Amino acid sequence: MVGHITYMSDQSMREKFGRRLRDQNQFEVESYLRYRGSQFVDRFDANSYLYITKAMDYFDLTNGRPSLSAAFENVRSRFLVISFTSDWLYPSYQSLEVVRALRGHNCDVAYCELPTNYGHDAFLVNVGEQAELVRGFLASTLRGVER
Amino acid sequence: MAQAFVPKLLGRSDYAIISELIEPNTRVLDLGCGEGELLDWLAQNKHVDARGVEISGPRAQQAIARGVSVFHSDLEDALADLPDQAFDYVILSQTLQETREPLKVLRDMLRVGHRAIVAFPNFAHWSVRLAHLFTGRAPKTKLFPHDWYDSPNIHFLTVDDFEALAAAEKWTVERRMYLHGARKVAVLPNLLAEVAVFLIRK
Repeated sequence: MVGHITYMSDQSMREKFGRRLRDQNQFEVESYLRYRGSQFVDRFDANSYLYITKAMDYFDLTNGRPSLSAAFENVRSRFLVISFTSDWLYPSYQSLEVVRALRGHNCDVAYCELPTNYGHDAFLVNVGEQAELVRGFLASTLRGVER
Repeated sequence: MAQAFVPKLLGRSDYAIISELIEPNTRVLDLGCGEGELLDWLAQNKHVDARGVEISGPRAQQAIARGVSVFHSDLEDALADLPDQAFDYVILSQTLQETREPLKVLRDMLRVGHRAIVAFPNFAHWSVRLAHLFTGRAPKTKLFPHDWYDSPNIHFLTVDDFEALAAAEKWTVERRMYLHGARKVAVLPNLLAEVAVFLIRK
């Protein structure tokens, strides 16, 4: 349930549920989260979540290096970084840290922040916009390779 | 008066002049690149390594969708990250008058680039002078079409102002080109040019 909240934004939750009550003892949002929680428990082993969460926590791009910039020292590839305004799992300011470190090495990097209320879920919802960006990026990369 | 027509590139005479100034196979950064039309043209036709900066999200998206590497950001926050002399040319087209700190932007352009190409509307054009003189109000012309309260322009500079700054900063002006509509202006640029394009280096 907690995990599910991080996938949404406060605005989208407010729009979807507000303060509506399901019954005297329960908010609409409580019932929704309980329902999603039980769905997840039925479909997945809880331990897999613990391991994946831990693996994500351990991942550190700067690990063993003096700075984030040092992680990109010998990078030659092009980059496309997309962030979403209401995503607080991968906030734009953190994407910008990566983008700025790459630009510091004069790497070829495109960056765009897409406006959305869907929070982290946006990457599953705003598919059309992302597809346009990825398509253009890959097509021009291919043109560069063929030249 | 010696005048010659400038062919348009992507519908714009200043683009035609800028593209003329840029050597093939160079590294180009366009500040305020819009939807990346000029950079895309330069990449396809002059095989430049093209990068851009654009503050508008929808325009930055369009530019990336057409395959141009654009950084979605205010251009005044976009230069500090870059290493010295990372580009052969840094372009600032019709935006200098909108920047908060134009001198800082110009200095930074010449730090990250060997050369800077700066195009700007000339506030000393006769139409602007006359509008100001006869209406007694903030000039509103074809060149500066906004009301004072909703204009993106916050610094008003002229051809002579730019020359004076270049001299004070000891920049070398390699080329100066002046436009009135689609015509080149050969004499009295401070009075007759609507748009000036300067190619400068440190």
